[in-house]
Amino acid sequence: MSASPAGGGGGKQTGSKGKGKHAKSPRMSSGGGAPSTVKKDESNSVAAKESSLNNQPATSANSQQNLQHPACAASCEGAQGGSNTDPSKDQSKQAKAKKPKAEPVKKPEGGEGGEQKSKAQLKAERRALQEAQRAAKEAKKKEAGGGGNETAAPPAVKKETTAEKPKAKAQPTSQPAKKVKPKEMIKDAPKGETEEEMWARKEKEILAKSLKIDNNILNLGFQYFYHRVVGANARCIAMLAELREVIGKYKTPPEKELCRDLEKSLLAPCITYINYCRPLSTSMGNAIKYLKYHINRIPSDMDDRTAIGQLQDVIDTFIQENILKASEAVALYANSKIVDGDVILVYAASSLICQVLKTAHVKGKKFRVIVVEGRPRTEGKSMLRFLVRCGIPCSYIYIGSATHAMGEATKVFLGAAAMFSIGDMHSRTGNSMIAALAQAYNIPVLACCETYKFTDKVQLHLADSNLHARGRDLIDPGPHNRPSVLLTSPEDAKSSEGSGSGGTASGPNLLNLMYDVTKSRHITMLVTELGMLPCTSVPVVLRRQEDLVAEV
Amino acid sequence: MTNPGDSTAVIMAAGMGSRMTDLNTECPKALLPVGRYPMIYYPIRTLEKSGFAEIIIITRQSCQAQFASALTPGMVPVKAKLEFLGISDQEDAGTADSLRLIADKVKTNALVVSCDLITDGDLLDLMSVHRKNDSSLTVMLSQLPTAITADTVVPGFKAKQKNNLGEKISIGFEYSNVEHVVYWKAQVDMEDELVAFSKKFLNRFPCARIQSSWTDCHVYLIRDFIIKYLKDKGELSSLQGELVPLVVKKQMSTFHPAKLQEEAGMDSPNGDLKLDKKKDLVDYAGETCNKLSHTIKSLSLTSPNFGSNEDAAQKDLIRCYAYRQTSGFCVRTNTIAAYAEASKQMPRLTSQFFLPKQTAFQNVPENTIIKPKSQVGADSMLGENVEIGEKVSIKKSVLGKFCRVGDGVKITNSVIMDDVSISQ
Repeated sequence: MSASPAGGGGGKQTGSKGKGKHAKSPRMSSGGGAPSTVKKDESNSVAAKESSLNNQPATSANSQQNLQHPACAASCEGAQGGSNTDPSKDQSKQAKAKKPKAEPVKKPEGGEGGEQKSKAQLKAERRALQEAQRAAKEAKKKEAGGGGNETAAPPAVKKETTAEKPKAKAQPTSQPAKKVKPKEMIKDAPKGETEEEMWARKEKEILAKSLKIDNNILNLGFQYFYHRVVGANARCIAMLAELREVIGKYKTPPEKELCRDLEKSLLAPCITYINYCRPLSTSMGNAIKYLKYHINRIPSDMDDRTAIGQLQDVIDTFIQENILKASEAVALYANSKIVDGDVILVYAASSLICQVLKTAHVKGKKFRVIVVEGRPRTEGKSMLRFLVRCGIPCSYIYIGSATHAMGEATKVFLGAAAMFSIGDMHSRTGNSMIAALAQAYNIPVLACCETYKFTDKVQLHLADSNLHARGRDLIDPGPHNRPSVLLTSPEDAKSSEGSGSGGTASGPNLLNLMYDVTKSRHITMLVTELGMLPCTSVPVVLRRQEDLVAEV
Repeated sequence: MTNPGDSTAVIMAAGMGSRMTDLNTECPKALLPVGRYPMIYYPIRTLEKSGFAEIIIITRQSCQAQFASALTPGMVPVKAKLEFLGISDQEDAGTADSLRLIADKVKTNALVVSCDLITDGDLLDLMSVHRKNDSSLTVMLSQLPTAITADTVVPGFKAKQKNNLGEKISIGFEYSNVEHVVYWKAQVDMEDELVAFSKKFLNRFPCARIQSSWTDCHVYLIRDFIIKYLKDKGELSSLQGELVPLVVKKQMSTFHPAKLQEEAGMDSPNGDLKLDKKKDLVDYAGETCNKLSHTIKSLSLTSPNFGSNEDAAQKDLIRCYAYRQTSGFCVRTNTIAAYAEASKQMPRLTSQFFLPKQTAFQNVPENTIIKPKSQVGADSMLGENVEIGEKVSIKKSVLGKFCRVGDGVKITNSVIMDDVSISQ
């Protein structure tokens, strides 16, 4: 999880909505200052211990909840695709988290003596009531054989989605109304849905979720889902281009203000849909933030035409300044580091690195490029095609032999999808390997990134972000010879010949990660349009951006 | 339900049924009953299922009234709003001419369906293929029709009719992406035994698979710029026969954005491109591109245009894809054999076509009068108000409305129209 404070115990995780509120409110309810908060904390933990004893008569529904949560959690990883944690780590965390959450809630009456019902206890009672009702409903649903775990699951999903938003929000029970999508998405989760099934289901539902969404956005969603538009810059520009069109068609309904309604009725569904098709990249997220900021600043007395024109201009300038021109600036700065005779090593493909290399070549520098390829996306081929078209001498090598390539390389250029605030680089899986290897060989690693991709988030571990693609892509020995040891789903079992496993999913679960985190210590220099910076300057740039925005 | 996304749905019902003339003397082909409903109801139903709320139906002007009366919601459970447009009877109009009628109504795509297609395939899958590949023309192909009508005995013919060779189309698919259509040639258009491929084609698609077992279901999802092109160029008259092969061929064209401004002379590389501002299909495609779309394509890592210049020639502007229906039911009832077979199979398929809650659909409606000792098989369907005499056995047949069947009659494997009396 990104940046979750190491709060005491699994139960007091800030991510858990219900629990978070529960845990924080005693601390945050100011009034009495330290002693009273300490007392409430104690009472909390006392309650926890007591109710852990009281938990024996806990209903079967409750324990079922607990049992299924790990399963939910594990497959929620797949279903959510958002900022989720590593399955194995999270399972245990979640299991721990679930139990303390359930237990204090299960307090039947008042808990301790009941003299002074503090806010926390009242809440706990209400929570207990809700949980009891929910459990009863669940039990009923279980008999009906329905998806009773929906109610159990949203808390789990909520936990994960809000892992990065430590603010514990209000009602967990309002989730069924608001978060219909996660619920629908994980309806099948308790059955132990495999990743394959999830992708198959997503493919079907991708259209089903698309009511009232503009045609252009639908097309875009499909392009994202099927990986037709790939790459931080491309995805961002594609999204902005479509949003520009969609905003152009917008008309403020009567009695509503453009600045509020546009975002709510038009942007929010589009963005949710795009996110569902493929989770937003940092570049896209930052662009949306920028756009929303400008939407909010539209004065309420401005008429539609001007406002829409203004917004479209905003989008255009963003694209021009932050993406296109910034790329050119990065290319210029990077060029100063390329000398004749260089052997430049690049990993997979990056539109920015392409520009860097093309500019250098056009300027007449003599260098050659080694393209290191990573599976399964084999984007290096696109890079190779581009280089050949440019006329730059290049070689192509698989990442497994990267050590060999390092012997020849003099510089390494890596393209980033995002830069975290601690200076780590978020990019395609494999970049971190290259960077670490290069550093071991004392080869300078230059990461190129436009500043609009800087984010104040922090990601500690590559598997923290669950942005992944179809597991099946990892193994592709051809249409007919999938080895049976790698069978991942019953359909595969049936379709391949001579499979003895008899229709059960017996192979390993494949996880096809798309992104990884390159530590800042492996990166020599960060090239941005503001110049060449050390990786540690990322927060400085971010702060400067904020200041600039505040000035305007 | 679902979002068809701004596409205009059109049903081509102006055909004269040239391959089943015996049946078409009084009733237009599209209104021939299949099962209990007129033939045209089935494409309407398929479109409704995919979320279209408005459908345009193009018919001959003389039959327009007949259609309107046959398709009133009272008679036939139609939920969508139907708009009837007529083309005049005099001209020998083809499907492309019909499309020109509605050219102004097409905003993003036109979904053209023929009236004789009976299928339970999901048109949404067709649209998915269209969307994900950003295709200019998506067709629906199926191998099911030939399987279904393979061994039917055609009524009225002594010998079994050979599978009409004229209908076959050779379709080529790219090996790596089986949905991408790269070659399309009807067998009637092939003059010699030899087929020629240009070097350009082989460079672009080094590995292609050509098959002729696919039936074109005549469901086309056509982009707006192709409709515009159709409107401007009056020569094309048939969609299936002329437009589709043309678009498939034009995939090879390259779009030169800069040259559009020049006065191109005879030495222009694409000879047929510009002479007096004559525009080729590719130029129509280029006009519709968002100004950023080329940038996006050049930045996207998986696109074939990755890293290309702003003003480079674009090769990939026109794309044709195909959606393959591999399971379920699909048949084109444009020949007598197919029509008969579809009618006969209808009783079996009613559950697939009609949701249980829609119409209480019984193969034998309640107001049928069946005298004792008569049997109506489960795979038969009777129309309303049918009277059946004694000792009658009806198997695997479809009877229309108001039929009178005398005593002791055996009906097997037949399609009987409305108002028919069969005596002992």
